[in-house]
Amino acid sequence: MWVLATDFLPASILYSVLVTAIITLLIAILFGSIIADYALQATDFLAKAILLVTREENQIEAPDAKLLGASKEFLSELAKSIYELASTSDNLSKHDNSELPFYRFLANSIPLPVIVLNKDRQISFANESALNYIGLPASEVINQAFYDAMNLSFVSSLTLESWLDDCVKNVALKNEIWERVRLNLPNNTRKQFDLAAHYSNNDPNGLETILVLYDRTNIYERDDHDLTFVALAVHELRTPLTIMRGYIEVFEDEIEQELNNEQLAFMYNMSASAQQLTSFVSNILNVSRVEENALLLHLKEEKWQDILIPSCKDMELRARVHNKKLVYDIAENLPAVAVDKVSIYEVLSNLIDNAIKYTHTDEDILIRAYEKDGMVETTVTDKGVGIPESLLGHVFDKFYRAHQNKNSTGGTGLGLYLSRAIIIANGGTIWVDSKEGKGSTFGFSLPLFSSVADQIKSEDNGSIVRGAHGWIKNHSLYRE
Amino acid sequence: MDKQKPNGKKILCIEDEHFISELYARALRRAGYDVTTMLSGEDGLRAAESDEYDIILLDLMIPGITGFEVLRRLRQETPNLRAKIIITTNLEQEDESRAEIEKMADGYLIKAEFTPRQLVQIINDIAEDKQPSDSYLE
Repeated sequence: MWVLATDFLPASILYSVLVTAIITLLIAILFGSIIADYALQATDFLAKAILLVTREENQIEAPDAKLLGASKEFLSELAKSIYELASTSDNLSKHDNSELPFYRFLANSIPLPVIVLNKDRQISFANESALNYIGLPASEVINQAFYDAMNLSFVSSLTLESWLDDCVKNVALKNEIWERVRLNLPNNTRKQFDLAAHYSNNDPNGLETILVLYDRTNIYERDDHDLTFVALAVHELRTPLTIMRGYIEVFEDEIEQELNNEQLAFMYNMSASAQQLTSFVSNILNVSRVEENALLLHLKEEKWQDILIPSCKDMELRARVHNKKLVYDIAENLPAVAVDKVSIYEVLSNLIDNAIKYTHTDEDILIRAYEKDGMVETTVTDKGVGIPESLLGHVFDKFYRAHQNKNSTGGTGLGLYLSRAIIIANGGTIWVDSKEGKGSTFGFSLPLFSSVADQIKSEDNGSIVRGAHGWIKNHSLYRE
Repeated sequence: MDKQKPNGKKILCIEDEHFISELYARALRRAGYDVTTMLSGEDGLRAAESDEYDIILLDLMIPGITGFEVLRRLRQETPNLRAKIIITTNLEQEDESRAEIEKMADGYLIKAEFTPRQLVQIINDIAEDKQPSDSYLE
């Protein structure tokens, strides 16, 4: 079976464009930084492609098994030969309609799902692997808007759609690779894959984007199960941890006056560490809730300073035991915000905790809150180590940590990812401004209560309930 | 926090985790409350039915009949119960059953989200019939 939208261009041209594009893309992937695991799959395709492109007859043999076990040297040689082949487009364009079956076979024999989009982001072509992968008949795929046929979620804020928007505005030719893309299927099932995209705006036939999917469902699902397991295990930490904090509090309340300075410092260290462990535990639990879309927020009218100041006071102990001070610049008379106070506490805790962790001097940490553009903005500024510019775009990604030196800093790489999910669910935005060696400012905005008052009052219990979509869907991000 | 004079208010704490009930009872007693602790659902229910308490702290996961069952029976069989019932739990309920519990209870606290000191503040607010100022009550 093969499927093609032929109403606007001859099939042979489409196929030869396709072959060129796929080969270019695979070359880009091979020469680029894509993970070595793909090499084998790519070899499979490259080998077939070489055989197909160089043979005169249409009789196609399966690629030699020996080629699949090829060494790296062989792979680079192979890639080079194909690149040369592909770049002399004469080789491909000289094929005419009589060679259509040849191209058709080529496209459909690729063991990877391949999808081609036109300028309107409709699916012009999907090979057999792609149709099998999506699990839809050709009639529901071809000529359909891409996002109607495929419900995708991306882990980072760069989605396929935002990337394409950017490409259309700025470039003629670009490649991009995403990891951990989710394809959400009916019956609550999903597949997970890495996605390679090649964009080119100078194709005369209106073909604009070619997508190649590398299925990684097994590996990524295993990661997700690990997280679920960790969440279950971590849940068991809550009771003993609550008890420890309770007893530490008894000491603070009842024997503080009897301790000498060193003992007092020990008690505060103990208290701050127990608090930090508590944040860690709730981060893990909440990330697993975000993943399952089970983190529900209750947005209510709150005076922002009544939440911000007590939350920061809780964090002051942590700052103090690390010889740092929190200083405040909070505007008077801030308007009321609509916020879920339990989850926003976690955001503040994560941001301040990071500021403490990544400041190795005794510089103060500044917390500001002010009204701007109909939102209340809050920032946490440190004069710590800062974040290299090249990594700034990834700080809100899952498992991301700018500083891998585990000796000086702890952390799961989940705090900012979670903070972002929480802020978005609260109806705000989160951002970072940082310079390596100078320090970082993390900020977030929250909607004014007045902007959602009508909606809140119309609910039964006077609050809006929202879920946190940790996975940013193309749909929800651009269409709501 | 300094020890407060007895305020005459009575609290029943139904909680099987000994350390937790010790911590709650200690903090609340220092704040002036008269606290009775019960370890099981049966004992808790019997004590609650005496209707001599102002506030009942009720854990959901307790031996014998569950906290949910205690709550249901109290509401059914003692509709004019004087005490306010505050659920304390470590369980994350599914939202539906939580909503059901919240309908019957006067408050819902997740144990990991507050310390004994914060519990005292919450209870003070509830005892004075104020809207809890810094609580996790829904």
